[in-house]
Amino acid sequence: MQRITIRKIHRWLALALAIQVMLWGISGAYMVWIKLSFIHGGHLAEHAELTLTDVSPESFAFVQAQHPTAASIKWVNRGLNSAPASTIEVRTNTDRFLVSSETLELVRPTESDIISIANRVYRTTKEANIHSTELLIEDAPRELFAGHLPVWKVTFDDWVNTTLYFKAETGELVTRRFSFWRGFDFFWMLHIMDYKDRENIQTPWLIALTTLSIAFVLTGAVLTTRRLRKRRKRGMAQ
Amino acid sequence: MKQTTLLSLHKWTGIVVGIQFLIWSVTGLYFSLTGHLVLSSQQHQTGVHSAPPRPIDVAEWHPQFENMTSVTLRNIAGLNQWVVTLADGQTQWFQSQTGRTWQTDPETAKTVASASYAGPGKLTGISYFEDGFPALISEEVTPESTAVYEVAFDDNISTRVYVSEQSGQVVAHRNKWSTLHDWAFRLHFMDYNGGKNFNNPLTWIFAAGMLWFIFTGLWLLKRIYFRR
Repeated sequence: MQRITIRKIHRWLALALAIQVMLWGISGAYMVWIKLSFIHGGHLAEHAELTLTDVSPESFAFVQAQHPTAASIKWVNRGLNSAPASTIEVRTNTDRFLVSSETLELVRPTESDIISIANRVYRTTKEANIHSTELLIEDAPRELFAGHLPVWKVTFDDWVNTTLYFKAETGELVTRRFSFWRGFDFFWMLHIMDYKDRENIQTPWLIALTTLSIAFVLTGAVLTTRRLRKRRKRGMAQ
Repeated sequence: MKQTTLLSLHKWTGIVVGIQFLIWSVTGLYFSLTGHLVLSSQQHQTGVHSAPPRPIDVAEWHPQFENMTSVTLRNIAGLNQWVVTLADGQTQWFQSQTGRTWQTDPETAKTVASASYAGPGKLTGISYFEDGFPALISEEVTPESTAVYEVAFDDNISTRVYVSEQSGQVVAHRNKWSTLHDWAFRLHFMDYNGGKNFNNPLTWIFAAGMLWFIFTGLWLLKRIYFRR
């Protein structure tokens, strides 16, 4: 009687868990087989800031005086049309913006600036062209952390649908996305069972199913031990 | 293939992978019950932008090197620091007034640690690890371990804040539960070096085993229910 009960429990658990265990297995395999550094897409684009020539102490001092609450001041050349020599990036706790290092006036990357930066930083072996550029101000797509807004979204027509995101105020490359990243994100969703935001690892169904999984393995272990013991007894009787 | 062969293949893969599946389930449940914030030991860490900035002093010295790609002046605990990145991807840190290579001193480390700490505890001590702190290594993020200060606070979870000597920045918060979290990750990722790297040969093999278990299981189901 007792034996039948454990076997039954084991079978019912198997039935309840089958689909999710398959999804855990498939999603886990994808995540472990494809290197995380590849998923992050460093090979798609580099932070190709241009080499600096002259860093002027006077300009630095001037920008500091203009923006006394700056948390950091960065001299960097992103090759903007309006500031071809270089720019000074000012960051306060709430803001960030660029100032031309020559005129010391506020500059903002234009769409053509972003296109030329994107073409410069994008690197793959085959020829690919920019498919679309779009300025995102309020709504972030699922694949972008909303804190990065506003951003320029630049999509390339390569086979992995590479998308590069650039800060609208500064032209800085903030993130890279491509099919393999999107695949990872999809499998991560299946793995943690948060189908909405793909970030909550504490959903009640995940807790419930992992608990049932433990029960499944333990009942399986009991059945296996019994089977082995029975076999040994049979062997001894012969 | 005979059904008995298939069944026995399925069963034996199940037994081998089953042991790891139990470990995955137990650690998975642990992650799920614990949550992101606690797993990253950041219960008492302030947000990145929560401290009001202090004005940066005008620098006396300015970096001028070949192949610089960016030069940043910023404030670290009231002291100004230059951060220089070079075309080969290297980063260097300098004191803004003297141009000497930046080296965080214990007092600065304490100030940096306190600024990143929002818990109820008081700072109780500081230690120095010249060769770094192994638990801070994460192969994908910080592959190399460099010298760090460990700043301790006396809250109920014994928070410790790690500050890099090289850059003066907070590397991580840890507390008395962090080692347990590390072990849960090690067991789940099958990465027993502690590098928090789940792309390793053991996981590759066990993932294949798991898929084989699923595949043979589906094949068996098909045979049983759609006898051919």
